[in-house]
Amino acid sequence: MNEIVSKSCQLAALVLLLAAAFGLPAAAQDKPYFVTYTHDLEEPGNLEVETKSAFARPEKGHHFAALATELEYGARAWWTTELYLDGQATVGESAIYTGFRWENRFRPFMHEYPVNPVLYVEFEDISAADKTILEVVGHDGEPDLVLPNAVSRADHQHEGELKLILSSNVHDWNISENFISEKNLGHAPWEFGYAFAVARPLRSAATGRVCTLCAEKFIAGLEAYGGLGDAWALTFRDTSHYVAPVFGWQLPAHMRLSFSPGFGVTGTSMDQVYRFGLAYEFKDADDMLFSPRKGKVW
Amino acid sequence: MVNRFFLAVFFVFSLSFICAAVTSHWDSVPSREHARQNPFQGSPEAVSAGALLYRDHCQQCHEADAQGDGRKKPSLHTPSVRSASDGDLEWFLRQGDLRHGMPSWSSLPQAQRWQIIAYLRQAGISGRPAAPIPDFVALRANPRRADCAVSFALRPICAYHRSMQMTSCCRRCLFHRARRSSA
Repeated sequence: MNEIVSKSCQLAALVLLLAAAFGLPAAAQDKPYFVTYTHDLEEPGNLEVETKSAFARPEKGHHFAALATELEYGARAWWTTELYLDGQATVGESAIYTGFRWENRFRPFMHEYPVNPVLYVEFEDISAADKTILEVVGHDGEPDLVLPNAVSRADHQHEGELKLILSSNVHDWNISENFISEKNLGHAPWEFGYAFAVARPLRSAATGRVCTLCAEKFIAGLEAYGGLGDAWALTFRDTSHYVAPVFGWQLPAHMRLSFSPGFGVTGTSMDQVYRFGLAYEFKDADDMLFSPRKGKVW
Repeated sequence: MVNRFFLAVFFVFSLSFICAAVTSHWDSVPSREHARQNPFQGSPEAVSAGALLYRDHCQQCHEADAQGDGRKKPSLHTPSVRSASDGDLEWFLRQGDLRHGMPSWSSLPQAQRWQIIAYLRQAGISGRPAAPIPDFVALRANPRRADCAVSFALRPICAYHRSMQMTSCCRRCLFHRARRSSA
C-alpha cells in the first residue's frame, strides 16, 4: 500500500513540477468535487482527461487504491459525454480492471437560473470488485469492500443510473445537490443516494500577473454523500454517509489537481477515504479528432 | 376556406420573422442588468487581469485579437457587441448561448467576468473610442514603460511575457500589431 501511495505521490509531484516549469495557460476553474456534479459542462470541443483515485482501508480488509480514469468530452454546450475506465489494486491480492461507465449529462434549459437542473444518464458495466466510490447508493457499505478480488470480480453488474443534478452559482459560491437512483438491470430494486457540495474560490478577482500560487487558483469546499436505501427498504438504516472537505488547485498548462479526505459518519461507512484527482484538458480536441465543425455565436 | 387558413398562417409566420429580424440581440437582457456599470472600469490592473482571463477562457473560440477566424470562431468586433452595455456583456457571459456553442461562464466569479469586459473595452470592442495606440516606429526606437502598458492591455501574449524585460514585451507586442496592420 505504501508503495502505491509513494509512487502516486512521486508521479503527482513530477507532473506539478513540469506544470510549474512550463507556466502555460490555465483552464477554467472547475469544481474539485469527486462525487457531486454541478451544472458546469465541458466546453464544446474540449476533451478533459481526469484520474480520480481513492485510497482507503476497510476495517476488516486490506488497503486498496482504486483509480477511475475519466474521458470527458463536450459534445455541445448543453451536452457532455464521459467514459470512465475503472480499476483497483488491493494489497496482498491483485490489481484488476473492474469495468467501464458511460455517462451523459444534458442541460434541458438554455439559460442560467437560480437553480439549474441537469439530467444525467449512465450505463455501467462493472464488477463487484469496483472500489472507486464514485457514488454511494442503497445500502453500499464497508462490507462490500472487504470481499477478496478473486471472489468479487466474478460478479458482473450491468446497471443504469439516473441523476437529477441541481446546481447554483451564487455570489462566487457553487451549491450543488444530486439525487441519485440506480438500477441493476438484473432482478434488483432501485437504489437511491444523494450528494451535496459547496465550494468557493479563495479569491474572486484575478491578479493581473501570471502566477501558480495566487489565491484565485485555489478553491475549497465541502462535500457530503451517502445512500438512502432502496425501493424495498427506503431507510437510513445500514447506509453509508461521508463528509469530505475538498480542495482544488488550478495549475498551469490546463491542469487541475484536487484532494479530498473523506470521513465516514455511520457504522457501515469506512473511517477515512483519501481521494486525489488530476485533470488535463485538451482544447479543441474535436479539431484533432474530426473535421472542424461549422458554428457561430450569434 | 383552406386558402384563407394558409394565408393567415403565412401572415403570422412572416410577422414573427420580421419581428425577430428587427429585435436586437440585447433586447432580452433585463433592464436592471443592462444598466449595471463595470466596477473595474478604467482600472489598469483589471485590464491586465482581464487579458489573462481572456487568454485562458475566450481566446480558444475568439482568437487573440477577438477577430475570430471568419468561420468557426466568431469575431467580437461586431456592431452587436459594440452596441452592448457592460451590463449586457456581463449578463451574456453569465448566461452563455448554449444553443450556438457559447458556454455559460457563471462558474467564473463575477469579478473575473467584469475584468474580462474591462479588457475587451480596452481592446476596442466598444462603442467608445479605443485606447490610443502608440506610434509603432517611435516605440520601436525607444520603448517606454507607459506605452508598453497599453500594448500589454491589448495583447494577452504580453501578459504571458510580463516577467520578461519590458522592452522585449513591447517589441513582441509591436511585432504582432505590425503584422496585423500589414495584413
